[in-house]
Amino acid sequence: MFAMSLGIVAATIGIAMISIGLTLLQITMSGLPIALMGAAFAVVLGGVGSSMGVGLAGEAAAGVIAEDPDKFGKLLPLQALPGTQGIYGVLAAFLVMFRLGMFAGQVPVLTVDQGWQVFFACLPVALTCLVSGIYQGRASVAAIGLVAKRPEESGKALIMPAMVETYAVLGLIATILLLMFGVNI
Amino acid sequence: MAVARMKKISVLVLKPLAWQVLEVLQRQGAVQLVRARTEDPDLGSGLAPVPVETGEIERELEKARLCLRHLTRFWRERKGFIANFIGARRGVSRAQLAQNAGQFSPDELFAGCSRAESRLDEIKQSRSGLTARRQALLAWQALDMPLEQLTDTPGCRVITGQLAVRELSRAQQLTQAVPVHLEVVHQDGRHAYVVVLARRDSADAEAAVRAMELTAVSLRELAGTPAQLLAGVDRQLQELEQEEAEIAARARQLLGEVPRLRMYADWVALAGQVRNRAADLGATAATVLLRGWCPERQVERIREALYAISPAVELVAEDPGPGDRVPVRLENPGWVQPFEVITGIYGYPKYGALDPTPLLAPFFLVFFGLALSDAGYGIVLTFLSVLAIRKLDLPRGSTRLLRLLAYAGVSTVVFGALTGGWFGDLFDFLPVPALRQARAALTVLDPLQQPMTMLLVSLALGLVQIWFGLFLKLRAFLARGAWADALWETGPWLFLLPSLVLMAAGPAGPWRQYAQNAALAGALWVMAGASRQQPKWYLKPFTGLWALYSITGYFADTLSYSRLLALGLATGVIASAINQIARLGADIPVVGAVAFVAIMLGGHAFNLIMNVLGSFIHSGRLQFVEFFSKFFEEGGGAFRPFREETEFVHVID
Repeated sequence: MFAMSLGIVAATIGIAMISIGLTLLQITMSGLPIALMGAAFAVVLGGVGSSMGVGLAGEAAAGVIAEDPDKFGKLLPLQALPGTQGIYGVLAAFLVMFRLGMFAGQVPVLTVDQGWQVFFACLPVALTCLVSGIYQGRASVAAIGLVAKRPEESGKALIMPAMVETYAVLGLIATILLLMFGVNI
Repeated sequence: MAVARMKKISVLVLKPLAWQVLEVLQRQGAVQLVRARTEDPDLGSGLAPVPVETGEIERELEKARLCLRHLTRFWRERKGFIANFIGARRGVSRAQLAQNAGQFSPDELFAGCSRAESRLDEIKQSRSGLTARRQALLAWQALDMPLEQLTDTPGCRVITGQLAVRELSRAQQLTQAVPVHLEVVHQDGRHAYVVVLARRDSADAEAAVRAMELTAVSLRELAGTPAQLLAGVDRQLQELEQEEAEIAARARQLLGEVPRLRMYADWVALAGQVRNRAADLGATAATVLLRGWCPERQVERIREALYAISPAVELVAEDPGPGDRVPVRLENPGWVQPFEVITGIYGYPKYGALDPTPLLAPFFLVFFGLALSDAGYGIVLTFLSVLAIRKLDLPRGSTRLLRLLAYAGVSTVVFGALTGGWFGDLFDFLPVPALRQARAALTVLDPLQQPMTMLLVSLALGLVQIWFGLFLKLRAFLARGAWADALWETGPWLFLLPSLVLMAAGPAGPWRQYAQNAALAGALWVMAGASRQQPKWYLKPFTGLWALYSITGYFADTLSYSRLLALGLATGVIASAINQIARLGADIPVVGAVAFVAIMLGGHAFNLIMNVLGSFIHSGRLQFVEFFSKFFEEGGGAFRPFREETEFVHVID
């Protein structure tokens, strides 16, 4: 699991390096694709993190429900917890579109430099969501075990995985502030 | 609004009345029993155990449970998701329960149900046997001859068996040039099923057959062709299925008995709970002693209820002693009670300490409102919560979570209106300008336009809560008379934190200079406070500096409140995105209107659920991690009174 997330991070960096190389070769390239790549990374990596997290939690929850179907209501929120990272990624992408004026119907014109600014502004949310989604999923799995054994403690079980989410939230805040104030558009 | 004061009560009663006393206590539900024989070694050593006979009650309960298990096996009870989550149950009066138990006996049902259950077990076993047999026969289906004819002849050996598919060509090669015939009957992905004929008088044939390494499959004791046998197995399976369907139909016909069975099961279970308390009792020659904890306010009520049984009952209430582990019960006015849910998630304060419930309530509401921050969602949440409280038949006490959500919904309406969120940006494209104007008039701060301001508001709220937490700690020290701790541990931080804020963010001019001096003084105060415990004089400055280092902890705590901005934006931006997509959907020809409505309903429902969950958890976390860590004295065991615990219905007086 950890190797996989490392692999995804490595692939991200690889794609970024290739893009840098391309940019250096073609100086006249527009910045828009680079900015969109940032938005796309936020969505994709956040989505990957959440998919893995929600998937892991779902496997564990299904096992518990096989024994006791009445726990469904208590387990569903636990499975949903690692789902927010994917949403934060989409949120970042929407903020990029908002910042570039796309909703106003314009096709923004960006320099390569501005494109990279947006790209790197997206990275905090993308990478923190990828990793925290997976680890929040693992904490959820453990919390599901807790609910299986002690259903009366389902409130406490919600808090443990929620602690992991803090870092996705911090990544999101960094991205929001960078997009709003750190980008020179 | 505090941790309830408890009394330790001892009830002395003549032996024959002991069960009646327990029944009354169960009904009152206000006493947590302790084991009279071990709680107090001096007193307990003289007490004998109280014998109890529970066999019949357990048998009755088992009967009722088996009938219920059987009758509901083929029935999916329709229960709403929320009802299931909260654990809604039918309310039944005690008189009804008793009347039902008097008229109803499960014996008649039980005979039929237990027979049907054991028959179902048999059916299950036969079916798995038959299914395995069917699987085995399927492979030989192509063999178009009665299996009893597949026997050795005087000159020829007949072997039936299976081998791995990849071994098949090797086996076929082995048959060349020796008097052996290999017939492949069937191949599936992994195995080939073969019949091998080998002459008995040839040693080569013998060797070749051995070299094939077949796994022999014995078909000899079967009679008839595989196809006939399969048909037979299928017929038996069908018969079993039919029988099961008949049993299911009979069970469904009896479903009408389920409510009475459930009432009966709960009635018997209640009697069983009284008997199970025998272990808590201690007996002398003629009396029985019960001991337990009771909230001070309820003692008189309990006393009256017990004295009503007979004059031969005595209750003594004492204050808890120093070594007692007193159970903790929170007592709050009605409107604060829903917030006990949040305290309960973390765990109770220890006996005699501060109950944080009313103190966290306003913070929780504000944080939840800012995190969800959409007036439209707030209205929906409030409406649904109130609807659930009204519609579901809930026992008192289990509506607390729903009431909390209703409060949180109202708070969301307020903060949603202040931040301009009404189902995201829905009003911007509705053709009603009045709505837009109203929204604009109410909006004080749009977090999407001014995220920095919103961030500062979040952090400021955090600082207020952290400072308040420290203040509560100071109060606890003072209440205990620990003046030195108050002066040296919490005092300096209470002073330093606001000075630092003023220094960093206060108005420029001479005030900043004052704040700077104050912060310096505060820092020295912190260092002095921490180093007073350090015996070696030359280490004192370092101990002080180390204490000053915990400023990073306060800094991190404050930053943690930035999640309010992120969560608020998440609701609003995703809601707006859903509106955006729905408008795209509206442009689809023919089905546009349907697509628009479907996307709006589905999208906003999803966004609402995810964000209510997130807002609740994160608002709670801010209480537990950032607020409680400043003052909360944990370690109280929850007060668990002996009361009516039912499975299917809840008892109404």
